[in-house]
Amino acid sequence: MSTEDLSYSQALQELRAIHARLSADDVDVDRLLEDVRRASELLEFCRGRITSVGEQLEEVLADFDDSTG
Amino acid sequence: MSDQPTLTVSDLLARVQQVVVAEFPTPIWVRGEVTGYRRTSGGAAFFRLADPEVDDAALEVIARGRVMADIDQTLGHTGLGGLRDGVEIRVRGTLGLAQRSSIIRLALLEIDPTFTAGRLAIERAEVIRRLTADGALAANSLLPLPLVPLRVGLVTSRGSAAHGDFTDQLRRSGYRFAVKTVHTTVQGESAPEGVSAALARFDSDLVDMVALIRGGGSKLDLTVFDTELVARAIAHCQVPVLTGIGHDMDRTVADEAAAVAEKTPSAAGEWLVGMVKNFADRIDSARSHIGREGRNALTRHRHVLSRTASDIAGGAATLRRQRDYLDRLGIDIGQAARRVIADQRTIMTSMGEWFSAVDLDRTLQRGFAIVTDETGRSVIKSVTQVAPGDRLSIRLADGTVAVRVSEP
Repeated sequence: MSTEDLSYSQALQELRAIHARLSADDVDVDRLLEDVRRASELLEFCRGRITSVGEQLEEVLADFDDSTG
Repeated sequence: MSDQPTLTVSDLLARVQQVVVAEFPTPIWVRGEVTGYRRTSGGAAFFRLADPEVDDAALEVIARGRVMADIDQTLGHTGLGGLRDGVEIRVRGTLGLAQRSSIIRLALLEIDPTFTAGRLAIERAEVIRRLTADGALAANSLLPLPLVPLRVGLVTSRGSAAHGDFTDQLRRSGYRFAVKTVHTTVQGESAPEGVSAALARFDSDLVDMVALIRGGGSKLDLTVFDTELVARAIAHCQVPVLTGIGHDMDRTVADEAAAVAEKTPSAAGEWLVGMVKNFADRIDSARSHIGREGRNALTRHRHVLSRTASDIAGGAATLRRQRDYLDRLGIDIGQAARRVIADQRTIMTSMGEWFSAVDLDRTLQRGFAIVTDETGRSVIKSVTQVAPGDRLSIRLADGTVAVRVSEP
């Protein structure tokens, strides 16, 4: 699944699953590279979302402060 | 015929006078109802005393000015007021003949005020009994009182002091009373009809209440308000009736029948003003209450909003925490992946070492041998696997030797 169709929370869930798999005692080495590549992709996606939402949030909050005094 | 005795008029009247005086030598008490009452400018009074139970039975009465002054005083003291038509009285007088009009008449000497007062009380009690029996006395009191009696129907004698006192109270209050006045005479024989007709002219579309107003007077002045006719007009009135009749007197029947009875016209006016003021005060208090509550609610909501706003503004902090979490997650995954590789590498190294440690050729070279059955397929690891005479194969570093078991 590419990251295009993912929501942030789905991406985060997948990241946690990879983290759990890699932290387990019996690691599937054949899957390791694939997992790490996917993790890198997911991290980039999530960071991008955070950056974008953060910028928009600042804009909205600027209006917010004006109107609530 | 001409020789028969013939009296002159004056002789005859003198003889009649003698008969009357002989029959009634001293003053007598007589009772009846006053009709055709009139006073002269000198204070003397002329009226007839009628028998209320028998038609066409009436006695002429005359009272000199001096006697009338006494009678006025007596009736005044007892609160009964002046003589007038329709009043039942008990009087003492001297019977005699009026020479010029040849009429037998009573020259008044005194009046019994307790008789008149008693008659009034009896009549009043009888009227009350009839009105109570058919519910008329309570009818007007059962109507709901208006909250804001600003439209007032006024039944009174226009231009009287009572009228002035009443309307003054309303005017001074500053409230916008709308008063519709119906003039009526409030004393005399036609007063009951006048008052009841005036009351009948108001309905609930026109006014909120009807005020029945009459200034102070004697008991006899106020008899109109003790009549059944007026009480029934009050009972039939579609709006509550407020009375202000006389002052500090006993309650009239009209007072009993009315929804609200005040003692004087001024007090009746004050009552109306009080009702309106009470309502206005309640409105004022409700208005300030609503204002206060409204402002409080606004303040509360502003606080909530501002708290919510700062909570939402805290979303930026949430984003920062999320970014940090992602960073840690990335680092952890990287570290975990590297650790996995490192671990696997370690395992591979130890396994390599292990395998080299158990390398077969190097073991055989060191002088060890492998014993198998003669086919070389099954390794012999115990003496229990062999019996004397069994053929075995021994593998050495440089070749294989076939042997036979001699004894276990």
